Amino acid sequence: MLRIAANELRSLARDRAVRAVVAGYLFALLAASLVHMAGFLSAGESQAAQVGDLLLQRITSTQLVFLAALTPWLVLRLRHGGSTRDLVPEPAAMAVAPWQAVLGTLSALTACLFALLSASLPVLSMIRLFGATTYREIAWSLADALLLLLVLVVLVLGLRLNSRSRAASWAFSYVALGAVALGWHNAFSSMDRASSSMFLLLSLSFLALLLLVSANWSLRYPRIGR
Amino acid sequence: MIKARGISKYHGRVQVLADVDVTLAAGRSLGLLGTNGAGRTTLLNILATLVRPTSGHLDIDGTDALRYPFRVRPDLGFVPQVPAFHGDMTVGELLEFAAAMRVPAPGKAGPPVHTEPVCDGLDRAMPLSALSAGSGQKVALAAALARGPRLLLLDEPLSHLDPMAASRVHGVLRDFHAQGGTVVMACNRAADVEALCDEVAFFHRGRLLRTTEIGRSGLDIGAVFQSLVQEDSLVREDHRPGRAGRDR
Repeated sequence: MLRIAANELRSLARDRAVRAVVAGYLFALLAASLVHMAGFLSAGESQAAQVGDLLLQRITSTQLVFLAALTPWLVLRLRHGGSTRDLVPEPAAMAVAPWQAVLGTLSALTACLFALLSASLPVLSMIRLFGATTYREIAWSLADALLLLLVLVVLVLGLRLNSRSRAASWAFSYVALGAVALGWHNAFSSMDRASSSMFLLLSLSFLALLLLVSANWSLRYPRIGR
Repeated sequence: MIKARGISKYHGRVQVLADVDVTLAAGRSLGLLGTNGAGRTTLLNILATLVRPTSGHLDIDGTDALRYPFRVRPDLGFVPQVPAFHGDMTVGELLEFAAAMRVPAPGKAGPPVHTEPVCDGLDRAMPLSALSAGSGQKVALAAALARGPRLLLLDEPLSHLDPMAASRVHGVLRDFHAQGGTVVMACNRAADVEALCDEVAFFHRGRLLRTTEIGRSGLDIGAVFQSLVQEDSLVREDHRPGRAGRDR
């Protein structure tokens, strides 16, 4: 499974389009963070505490929007050479059960998204230096964002494995993105933070289990030749 | 090792395999010789558990392979006629990846075979997307062997190879077979089947016409195949609907 994950990460790292998009994301994240921080620094002393409270929320929300838009593309970009069902590398198709191959892919995407989320850590650490937030708050925000993105990854992977065409995978994936965004908005507006995090964790566990079980059916007869 | 009974396969209304029975003991090698479109590739895909037959029963090494395909797949090495690779990997990376996917149970691993001769002359840093058809076949065979399978299923493994590469592949397959590996291979050339297999199965229009031991002296496989196909064509011609009426 780790071999499959390493293989997928290597494939992503070699993809020029992925490198360009990641560079664009980092640039946009830096620009957005600087704009938000400029607002904080230019605020008067009486407003500083209020703006500081919002700063973490604003930066992580901006980052989440960028990454949520990027995630379906990233999942559908994996192993982009052939049909929608060619997620399993050829030797692995015969050697391991489909759920193990999908778990490898899921691990690779988790590592990738964790790295992309961690890109905001330097800026968030600076906010902490201003006394606007704590490390606990930062870690919680990033963990929530990662859980939400993983829910999206699991949905898009499931759609990709079960779609008949690439166009259908794309269309349904962005519909799923809309549904996840709506669900997240409703969950966070009606629940306290601990409850919404637990809700995300339970949703992710359930959907991931469903994906791994369904993978055994979707990839029961993988295509490994033309 | 392989017990296939009454294997039939329809693509829509077209029958591509009709009630095929294949039995092969462990350590034996079987050549599938047939006309184009005779159903040999479909049979190999079914034996590799990559395609489900419309009807029939397949037992591989005592396991119901149609019910539990994931249990038998680790023991199989499959080389399709035109392998589909992930083009961003290099030859060396694919072979390393395949070796890492090796069957872990020591008692269940297939015979250790040196695959270097198969990829002789190939640059291991070359991307798989840049390989020619022949090089692709060599790499696919080396990757299948690197996993240590006990049963090798080959779909025309020599069709795109130059004579020197074909000779090296012959050597590697003989080595695999000599060490107890089981081989089923579809071939277009009778000479390859004669050189590499213990038994030959003749196919025509989705039917298995006959299975014969090759060890018997004086057996001209090409001639036998030709006469079987002619005989089968005549029988089919006689059974065509409306034929009796026209004869009258």
